[in-house]
Amino acid sequence: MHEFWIAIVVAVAGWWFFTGLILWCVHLPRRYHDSLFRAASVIFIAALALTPWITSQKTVAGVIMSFTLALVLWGWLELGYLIDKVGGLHKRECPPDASLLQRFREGLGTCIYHELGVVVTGLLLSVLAHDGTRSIAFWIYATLWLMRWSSKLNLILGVRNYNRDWLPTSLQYVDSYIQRRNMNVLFPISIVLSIWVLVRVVDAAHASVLIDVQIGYTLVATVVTLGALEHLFLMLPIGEGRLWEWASPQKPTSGIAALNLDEQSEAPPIVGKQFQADT
Amino acid sequence: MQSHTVNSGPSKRPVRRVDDRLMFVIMAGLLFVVAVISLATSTQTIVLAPKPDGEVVEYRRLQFVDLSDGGVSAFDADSLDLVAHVSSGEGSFLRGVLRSLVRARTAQGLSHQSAFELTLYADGRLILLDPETSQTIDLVAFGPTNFNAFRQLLSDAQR
Repeated sequence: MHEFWIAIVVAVAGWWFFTGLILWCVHLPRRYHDSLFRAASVIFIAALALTPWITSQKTVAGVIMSFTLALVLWGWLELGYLIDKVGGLHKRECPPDASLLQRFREGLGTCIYHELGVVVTGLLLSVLAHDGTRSIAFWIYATLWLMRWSSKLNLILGVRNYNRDWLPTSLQYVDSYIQRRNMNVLFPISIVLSIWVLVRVVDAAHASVLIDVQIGYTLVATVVTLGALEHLFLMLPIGEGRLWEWASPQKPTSGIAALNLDEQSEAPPIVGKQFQADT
Repeated sequence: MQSHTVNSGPSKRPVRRVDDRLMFVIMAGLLFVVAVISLATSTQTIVLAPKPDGEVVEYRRLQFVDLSDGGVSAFDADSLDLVAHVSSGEGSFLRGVLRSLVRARTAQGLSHQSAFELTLYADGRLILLDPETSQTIDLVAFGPTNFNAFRQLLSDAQR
């Protein structure tokens, strides 16, 4: 029984680690971004090359590798978008008087290559994976994918609480596409669907007698739960920024401070010296 | 606490944050690695890959279920399709084999529920493996009738 608790820890820690790592990379000085993205791309291609083998391993270790594989693929896409390597057609701010449809179309334009990358990677994964769309790697990936699209649609429709500080300075314009509202029509649907999927996945875990399948579904269920929580934070007044404070630059006052911080971190900070310089 | 005493202006806080962020990424990474290792090793007893004795021709994970009427049903553990059904009083060899494997599980205090693996190799050997106990039974040793009782559990998959 305790395996399932460890599986939940694996899923939460893996998700936490990869998110933190990406945010940390994104906020590194720009001059590192090229080599960073090159290294990440090598890992991404290696992960795809290993996909048939990893997904054919019908063991607990195989399932853990499948989970990590999905996170690596997803992480590369996230990183590419956040450090501005794979973006969209334009980087215009949203016109202030735009209708919902316009906002959606313009917004999609800012990230269309990224979204196509997400779709193509998903298709590649389903083709390369040993069990196709039945493999745990694909399930994890599909969960991240659908959850992300759902939260993006929610952002376009309007959310109460959204952490602008997450966005690196080069992506601050994205904020103009995001509405602030206390509720939108999609949000309850997203939550109900997540819970429905969660119930189905937990059922599937119970229905299997194989430990690797059970662990695999436990990982999927945990990621679904984390996705649903991220959705909830969009509407809760507290803000999920709290969760990631440690991985994003401190911004005590405004976006201007963020700019300052990015400049400061250009020079690898030597804490003692920095203090001296400031005082 | 230390930062509190040195901190006389807000401008210094970001410097410390940079270190903290990296620390937390490393901590999350360590937690992930430790959890992965403990999960992988906590279920180490399961050996699912068959030993390479020649090429694998057919392979299936089978789940046997005892029915209340005395029958035994075999399901494909991956697809959950019904593969075969043995009515009460039939299939004494199959029952005997399963009983001996389950007895080994009971002796080791393992779950009775998980699947067995049946593998047919190119050299004609048919091996039933219990991944829980790593016990294997070479079914060729028991003559053609008994061999076929298990062989059928594989060939039905191709229908």
